[in-house]
Amino acid sequence: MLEGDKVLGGNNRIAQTGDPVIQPGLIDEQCNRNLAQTVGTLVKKRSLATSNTDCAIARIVSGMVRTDGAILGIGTISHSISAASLNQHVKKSGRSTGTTHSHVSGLNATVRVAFTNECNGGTYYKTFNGQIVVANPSHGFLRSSDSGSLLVQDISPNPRAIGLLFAGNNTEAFANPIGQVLNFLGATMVGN
Amino acid sequence: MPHIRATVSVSLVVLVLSSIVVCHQNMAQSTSPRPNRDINVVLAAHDKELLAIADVVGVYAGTMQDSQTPCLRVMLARKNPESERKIPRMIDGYPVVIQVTGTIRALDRP
Repeated sequence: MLEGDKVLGGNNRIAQTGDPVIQPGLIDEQCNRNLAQTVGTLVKKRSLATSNTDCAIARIVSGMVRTDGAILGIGTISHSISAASLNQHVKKSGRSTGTTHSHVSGLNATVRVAFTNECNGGTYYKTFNGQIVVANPSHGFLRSSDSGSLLVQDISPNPRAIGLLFAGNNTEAFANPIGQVLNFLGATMVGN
Repeated sequence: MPHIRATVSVSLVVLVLSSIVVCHQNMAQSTSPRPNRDINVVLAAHDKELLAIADVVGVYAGTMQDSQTPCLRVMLARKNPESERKIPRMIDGYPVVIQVTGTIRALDRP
């Protein structure tokens, strides 16, 4: 189960390997843990502290999630990945905005991203290189709580993964290239 | 002696003219409409100096409004005329487009 570091891993001072990963998230269940189901357990990797990515991975609890690479609103993805290209049509399925479509508006971005520290509420910044840029007018493609969405080709069936979305503003969204994410995690994609 | 003076004068004129040509060629490299290097190489060579300018939050290889002409796009957290003056309008033959995009935030929380 692939996600964003801050989505699964907290700020690296709280979460530990083996911590339960629940669904829906606490915010969608009025912070009542009993209303959510445990679908995986965290495998801690600390991507934000040690890499050019914002990603995390969890070991699934058998029977709790599909294992064929199917994503709500997108269907089963390809097990192959794709590099991004300018003007490429893309889509994603996310917690806040659901399935949305856009296009790659830039490549190889160097971006300074603001993160909020969960423990003391302060803001810290991290600079990422080589990021994928996706047009995000008025947050129409990606908004808060959509981090961790997989960016895929806007084709059907079996789109290839392109990136892992993690940040944005009112005009652009940003994704780690999926190859970098998989290399960091030592993972491969499932799918057809 | 007059002959030697004339030779020295001609040499100086040639030297000055050569310098002017070299300067002009260097200027042409930085403003030429035809880039000599791949845009990603140019980006990698200049991203740090651009990000050091106040309120610059990102830079990337994009396109002009026509979605085809390559350009460097520089993102600003807020409108800042002084920073905009510091950002070159052309780098190594690529046009530079300035966008006021706001802060780039991780979108992990509501």
